[in-house]
Amino acid sequence: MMERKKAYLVLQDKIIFEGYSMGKSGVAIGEVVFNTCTSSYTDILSDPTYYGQIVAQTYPLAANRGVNPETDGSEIMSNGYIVREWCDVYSDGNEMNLDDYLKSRGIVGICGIDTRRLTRYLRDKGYVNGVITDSLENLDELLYKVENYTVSGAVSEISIKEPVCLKGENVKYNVVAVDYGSPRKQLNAFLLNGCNVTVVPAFTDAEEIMKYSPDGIVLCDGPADPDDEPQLIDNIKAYTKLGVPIFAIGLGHQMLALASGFKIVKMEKGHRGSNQPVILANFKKVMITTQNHGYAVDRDSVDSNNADIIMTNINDNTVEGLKYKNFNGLSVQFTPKGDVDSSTGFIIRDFFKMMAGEENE
Amino acid sequence: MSNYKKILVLGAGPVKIGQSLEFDYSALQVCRALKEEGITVVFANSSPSALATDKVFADKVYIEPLNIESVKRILEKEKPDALLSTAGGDDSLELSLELAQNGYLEETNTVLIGINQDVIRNVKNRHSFVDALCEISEPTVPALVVNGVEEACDFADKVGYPVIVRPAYTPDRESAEYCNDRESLAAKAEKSLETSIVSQILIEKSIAGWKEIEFEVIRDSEDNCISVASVESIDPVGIHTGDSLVVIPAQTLTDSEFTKLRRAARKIVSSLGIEGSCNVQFALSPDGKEYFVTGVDPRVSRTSALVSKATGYRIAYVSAKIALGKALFEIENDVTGCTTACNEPAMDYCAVKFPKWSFESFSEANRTLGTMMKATGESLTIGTGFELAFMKGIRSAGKNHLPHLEQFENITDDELKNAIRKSDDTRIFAVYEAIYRDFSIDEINEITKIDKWFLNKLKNIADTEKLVKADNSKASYEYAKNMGFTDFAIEQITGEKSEYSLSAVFNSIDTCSAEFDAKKPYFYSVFGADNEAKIFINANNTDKKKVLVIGSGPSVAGRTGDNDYCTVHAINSLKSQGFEVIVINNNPASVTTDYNVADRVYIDPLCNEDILNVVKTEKPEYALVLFGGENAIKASEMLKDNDVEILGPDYDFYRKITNKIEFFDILDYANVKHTSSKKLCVGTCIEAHVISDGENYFVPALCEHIEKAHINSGDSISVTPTVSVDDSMLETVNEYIGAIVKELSFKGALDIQFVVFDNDLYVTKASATNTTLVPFVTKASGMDVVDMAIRCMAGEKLSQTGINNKDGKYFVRVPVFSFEKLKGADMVLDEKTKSTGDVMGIGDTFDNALLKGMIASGMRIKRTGSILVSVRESDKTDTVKMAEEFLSQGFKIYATSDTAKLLNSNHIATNTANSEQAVEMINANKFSYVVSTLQNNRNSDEESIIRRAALMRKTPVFTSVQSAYAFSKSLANNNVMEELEVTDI
Repeated sequence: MMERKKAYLVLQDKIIFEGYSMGKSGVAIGEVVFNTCTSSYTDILSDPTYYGQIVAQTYPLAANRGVNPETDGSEIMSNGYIVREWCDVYSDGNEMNLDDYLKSRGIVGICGIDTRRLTRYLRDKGYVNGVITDSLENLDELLYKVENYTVSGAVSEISIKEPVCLKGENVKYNVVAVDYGSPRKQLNAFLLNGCNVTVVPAFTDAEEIMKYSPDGIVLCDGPADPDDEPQLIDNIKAYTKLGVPIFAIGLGHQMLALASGFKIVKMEKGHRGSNQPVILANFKKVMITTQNHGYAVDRDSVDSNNADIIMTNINDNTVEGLKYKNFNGLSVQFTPKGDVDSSTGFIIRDFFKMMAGEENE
Repeated sequence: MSNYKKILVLGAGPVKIGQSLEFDYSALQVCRALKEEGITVVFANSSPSALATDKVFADKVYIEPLNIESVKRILEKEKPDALLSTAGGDDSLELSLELAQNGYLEETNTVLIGINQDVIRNVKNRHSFVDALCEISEPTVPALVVNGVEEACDFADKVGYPVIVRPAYTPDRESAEYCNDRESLAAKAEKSLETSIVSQILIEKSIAGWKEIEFEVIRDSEDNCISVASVESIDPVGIHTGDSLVVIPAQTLTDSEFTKLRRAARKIVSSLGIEGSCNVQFALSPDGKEYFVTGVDPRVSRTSALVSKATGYRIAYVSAKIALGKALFEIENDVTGCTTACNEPAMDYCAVKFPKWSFESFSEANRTLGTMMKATGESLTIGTGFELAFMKGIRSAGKNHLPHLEQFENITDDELKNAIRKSDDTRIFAVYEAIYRDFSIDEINEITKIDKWFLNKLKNIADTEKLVKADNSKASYEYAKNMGFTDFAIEQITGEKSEYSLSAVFNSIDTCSAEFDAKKPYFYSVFGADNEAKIFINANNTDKKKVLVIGSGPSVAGRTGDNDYCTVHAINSLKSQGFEVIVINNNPASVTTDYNVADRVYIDPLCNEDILNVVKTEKPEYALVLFGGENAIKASEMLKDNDVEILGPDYDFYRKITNKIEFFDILDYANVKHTSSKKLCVGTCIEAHVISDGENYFVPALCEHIEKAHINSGDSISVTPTVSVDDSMLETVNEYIGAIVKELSFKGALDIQFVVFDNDLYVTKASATNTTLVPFVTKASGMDVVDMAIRCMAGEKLSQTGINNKDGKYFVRVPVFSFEKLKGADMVLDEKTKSTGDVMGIGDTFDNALLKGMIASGMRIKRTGSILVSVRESDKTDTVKMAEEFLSQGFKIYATSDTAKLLNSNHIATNTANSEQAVEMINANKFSYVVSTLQNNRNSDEESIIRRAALMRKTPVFTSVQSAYAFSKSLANNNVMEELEVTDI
């Protein structure tokens, strides 16, 4: 039983969880969300949808094999991290344990709390802000900050500042990816399947995009509220008129819907985890997807003259994918995988067909 | 969805090592899944102890041998639209393949569902298995059958050392030899070539020490595919996963290793075209760079049952729905009540499986663990951390609360190192001892190849033990409790009762890590603030009185599923009487831990403290301890101290019956004759399962044992109605039972055994907990025997009395053993139960029923050839009768010297063979049957070698002259199997 530094997770309704400090000691405020994945913790930490959030891992044993700073090197997007128990690393490789890794990245974390109890609380409340702190002094002041915590300007904060050109293999297409903050990893599917990808900053306008003479435009995933930056929506409206196939993911999918005049709703319960089942309309085909979002496209607002709802979440019937009719566009709420074996692999292939001018299945 | 109206489901036969209760659990789920769709379910199984052979979900039940002839007859009689065999283990899969290949399915227009012929062929034939995987670039362990040493060495040079070499086509898998280099391979290959019957050897790359990872995958006909869970063996490759400690989910993989294997598993299942559940096994090199696919099981299995219980995902149920054509998202997840079967379960805990062996019953058996499974059962325990789950497992599978074994405590460090090297059933204790003594983790890892992550977890436990010893503070006490130490364990460490106390609360198994508010969760104990069980109880409050039912834990030899059978019947009976029923048990294979059976289930150890935790949360009015075995009975006192009333017989009653002096005193007082320890009475044994309401009694079916010897009643062949007990003797039986019931005045059930000696009746023993015959008696009488007993316990009166006299059919129960799995174990029976399961034969005559029972038990029936007889002194009169019968049917008789002398002197033409010759002839498959009883001197190695040889050649062995005689007569009076009628009970 080693001596450990105390830390606290305080939720906005003054519920206090007492635990131990992990990673950087200090204060971190954010919306507290849970994630039900049993693995892939570094992917979660670097996922832009967790920007400004504090992530709680429902699986109690975190980072059993530690973190490899070389292969898991993406920037951490979340404000804080909550686990029940992290494990020291015993392998002979160059992995770091979770505690040291978070310290090296300056991320505040807490361990040793009843994460199941926390999850049940979050599940019942829906949206809860909270703070990880190493001290309960000035609690009222902290709680004031917690209550008033909002994320804004996230996309401009984390989007790249200058265009970057990424070279793919056996190139057939030039793709422009509008970056709302998603990690580079998500573009691998394009690079590995015959695309050069030019990643451009979020606020790039349509004219600028055409300078790259793209075969297709990808609107990437990003953090939180799709209503946050009206300018981005206006830009996207202009993209749809370029006659270039558009493929949108996550935040991009939601903003494309807004640009088409559809509405976005805040969901009663967000999708948080790696086992979200999505079904393809008119098929008995299910995809198991990884998701973290609290907003969704409002089903009733989708004008069937302009788009078909082609994918739906089986658990709560929310919209997961749209195929546009008034322009050549396809969008999904989750990140599709690039490999052939994956159940979501066909989506990117469909986009390729769109770029090639073929009809989709 | 499909339009099948009637489906034949094949069961798995009797419980054997490697095939425990899990198949019954799965079969029940399958029947339930089909029944829900309005399908007429016909279920066939040879074992009366399978709950699926009750007519609960099945409309028609055939307790018949699971072979071509009898299933063909069932097909002809029932003409089902489809046949489902994936819930019956390998034997049923192969049987269904054979039925399909022979065109029998076509004849009755029956479709094989759940799996197709190609899949069975692909996975069951090593050649096609390797080819099929090769086609999709999935690697299998390099192996080659060779004819010469040179060829062997070339192959080994190519794939790399070490390699395993073994004679090809040998039934004895333990003859494998490890070779680390060319030189040793050359030597061992030569030796193996000599021992091989076909002069061929199998060379295989050794992957001993690699990680063993399994994925339980489920796929529907639309190619939707999820992985239900990953499973990691703590003991690396080399020890059968059934004999390994196992953890769910896998703990020691990096993200990329995990993803790689999971993707491979799905790819394999998808490309093989498997629709339903499938277990895919991998060996992963310790550096994670290389892997091999080591097995694919396209059916429900031991692991699928374990995973089902560990996750809440009903694998067998979902598979059955898939077989009907449903897609995963069309199948409800009734645990959450709001998701479907395409949600991969999300776990927020760690589940640990401990194997349970029955070496106490097989004292001569070699305890070394290898590639052949030896465990008879297993426990499942769950904790938020590994340590908690592990410590629960220690006390679930063993007797201790701490991972110490006395045998390792006082040995030297060098001796301990040797103990770690041995891969036997006690190794984990040796490893713990080494960690406790501060051996370096690296060194232990080097020797055992157990991943350092696990070893460090054990170190956490050892450190906790030391902390408790050194520091008597509240903080260290609570820390230890969180790590899974019971108060009893802490007391053992410190030598005194702790002044502190901390009760457990309960978390839910809900398939979703609390993402949704589950409708049908089940529970495991943790230490924390929220008691989810309490919250659930309050939210679902009923006015019903509660009964806590204590389960019987991991299966061991001698408990042939009967405890489980009785417990489930008891639960149903109590529910139908308006009680709310709560179960605590740790056996993942058991039907009792199915959340759809009792009202609430707790997956926890069965120690007093663990039971008390449930009592504190549930506050039950009553407890039923009777079917939980000795352990549960002993909990009576604790339960009474906590204001829980015991339903039916309690510990006092149990003790009174078990203590022979006390029991015989009672018998004397009641004027009932009994055997005493001084006199050995050999004669016809009678067994009665007596139900009493405190006043009157009822015996649903009186059984007679075929063997006269003093063997455990569970190991005897039993028949009902009795065949050699005359009316006056029956009257005495009645009279004795009446007297005993009057004297004991109990409510519930009591098993009483008698022997007829010198035309007089004696009681030999009685038992409140022996339920071996109950499933058989239930099937033979057609009455719910357990329900009757439970109703008596609850105060109802019997409506029928006396010994049930049912004319008509004969029912024979044949015990089934697993000796072939236990190297060194002798087949001779004694007072310790050795059977692992049972089958039943039904017929119009005793002979027909017996023959069917024998066939169902797996015996290869031959009507010609030779028999070998080798018997002890006291059996000799009966031996003559038996040999005469075989001779009259044209069998040639061989016997060992003394027996041959006896037979020849009684004018039975007998050839003499010494034991060496006998073994040689057995190996050459010369005998149809072997009759070999225990010689006077207990360690008669020669005899044991004869029996062992016969076992390995699958020659039927009778270890009792009476059973051999009865069998020979059934052969004589019998027609061929095809003409025996099959009966819907």
